Amino acid sequence: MDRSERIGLGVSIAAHAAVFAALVLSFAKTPPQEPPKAIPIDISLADKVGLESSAPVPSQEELAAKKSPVEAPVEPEAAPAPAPEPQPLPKPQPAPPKPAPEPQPQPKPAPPQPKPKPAEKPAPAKPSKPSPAAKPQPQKPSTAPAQSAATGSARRPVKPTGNLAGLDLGRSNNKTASTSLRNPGSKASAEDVASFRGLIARQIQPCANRQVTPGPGAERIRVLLRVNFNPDGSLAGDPDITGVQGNDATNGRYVERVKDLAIATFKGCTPIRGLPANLYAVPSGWKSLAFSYKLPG
Amino acid sequence: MPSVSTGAVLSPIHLFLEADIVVKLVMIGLLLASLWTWTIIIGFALKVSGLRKEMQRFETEYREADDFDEFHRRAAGRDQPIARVFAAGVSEWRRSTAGKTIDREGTRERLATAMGATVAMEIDRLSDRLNFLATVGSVAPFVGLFGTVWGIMRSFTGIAAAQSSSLAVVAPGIAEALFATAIGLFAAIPAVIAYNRYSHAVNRVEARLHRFADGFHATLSRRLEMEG
Repeated sequence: MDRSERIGLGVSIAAHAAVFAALVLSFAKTPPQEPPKAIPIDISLADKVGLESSAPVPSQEELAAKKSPVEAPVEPEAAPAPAPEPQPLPKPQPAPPKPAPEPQPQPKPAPPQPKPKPAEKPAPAKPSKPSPAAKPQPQKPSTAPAQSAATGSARRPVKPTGNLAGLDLGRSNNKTASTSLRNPGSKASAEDVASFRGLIARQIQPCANRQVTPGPGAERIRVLLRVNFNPDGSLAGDPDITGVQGNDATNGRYVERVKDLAIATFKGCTPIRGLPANLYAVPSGWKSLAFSYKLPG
Repeated sequence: MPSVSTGAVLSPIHLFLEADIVVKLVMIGLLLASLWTWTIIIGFALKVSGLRKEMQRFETEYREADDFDEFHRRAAGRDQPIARVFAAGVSEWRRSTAGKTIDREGTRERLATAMGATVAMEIDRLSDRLNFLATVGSVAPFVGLFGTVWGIMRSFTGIAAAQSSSLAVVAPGIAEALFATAIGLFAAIPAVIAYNRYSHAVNRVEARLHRFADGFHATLSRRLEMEG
């Protein structure tokens, strides 16, 4: 190693040290970058909960039936009036009786009726017991909800028509049929809505997890969409964008992209399997649902 | 493999300290190779530029000198390749012309051989270090790649152990591993460039020494004819 190489060694050591120091300093200066975190991705599906119970109609009919036999003795005179009354009664019935009026009369003759009722539906049964005083009110909504308070008093005499054994029996039978009636006429209950929305959310999730955030701030955008389903769970046309929330100056340019991602998410993971067919076209069923979509993060 | 959320994750010190022992050795080796490479590069640059000036001055002095014997007294002791070529020619000339009878053909051949051998020896000495540059230039990337492959294998083992393929688990290991390739390229690129440049420089020095030797040989040949 001669003189020039000693110089070279010194210079190269110094230069390497300088490069190293520069690297260390430059990396020390760079602002701490968030390491990519494994973020559990959530689709936030806006659950619009149906707060109305779906099953009351049949239970109301039950009440009416119970009371009518009790009341029947009260007004024997009203017997001549039956002719006009049968009409209001059949009105609510036409839907209920069809499914299963015949099979029930045999298993449940008139006397046993009160027993099965409390067993099947304890909640509605209770109101019926104290009801003797309040009978008229529960009855009226079932037959004619519009005529509530004022006409209620006038109707009382009408109810004795329930005395007619055949009619009463028919009615009571209808009550028991109420469970089967529920499907065609009812609306999706809050639990049903939560259930099938959860089902959809679970099946959409894999597609939502696949979407990549197009840029910083895009995950704050919330796209509201209305999704129409076919009875088989597939999409009936593209989801409609009904609104966008959370877009501001910084992420405004990603809005269109996020909209596309939202639609792609739903298109990618449909048809949805396992949706309850009987809740398709009912009120607040899953024929058309509103969702809000948000990117993970 | 801890996932630290600071920017220091990518700092060279951190990458080095976090790395596997094999990767560490690779990095250290490559760093030493880089140091030595730059030592050679800088040393050689100084040496060649000094050599050019020396040859320039020596040739000027040689042309201006009246008599090579007298010039030999002044210049023969210098520690310069061109001076050694000159000295080899002169000493061979003296030995060949010391006797009473002079074999001109034989003397010419011996002069040419002696000076040619001296030129070859000087070039050998000059280019002694260059093969290290060539070696580093061709091997360092592979060594770095070895470190990277090893480090990535290790971080894949880490994935298996952590039961998670999230980037936070994999990234530090891969960054460490890639750092080895980075150092390998850092050492290899200057080495390759320098090797090519200096090979060319050595060729030019060699050609110049040969030209000087040929010229001196011609001078001695003429003198040989006069002597006879």
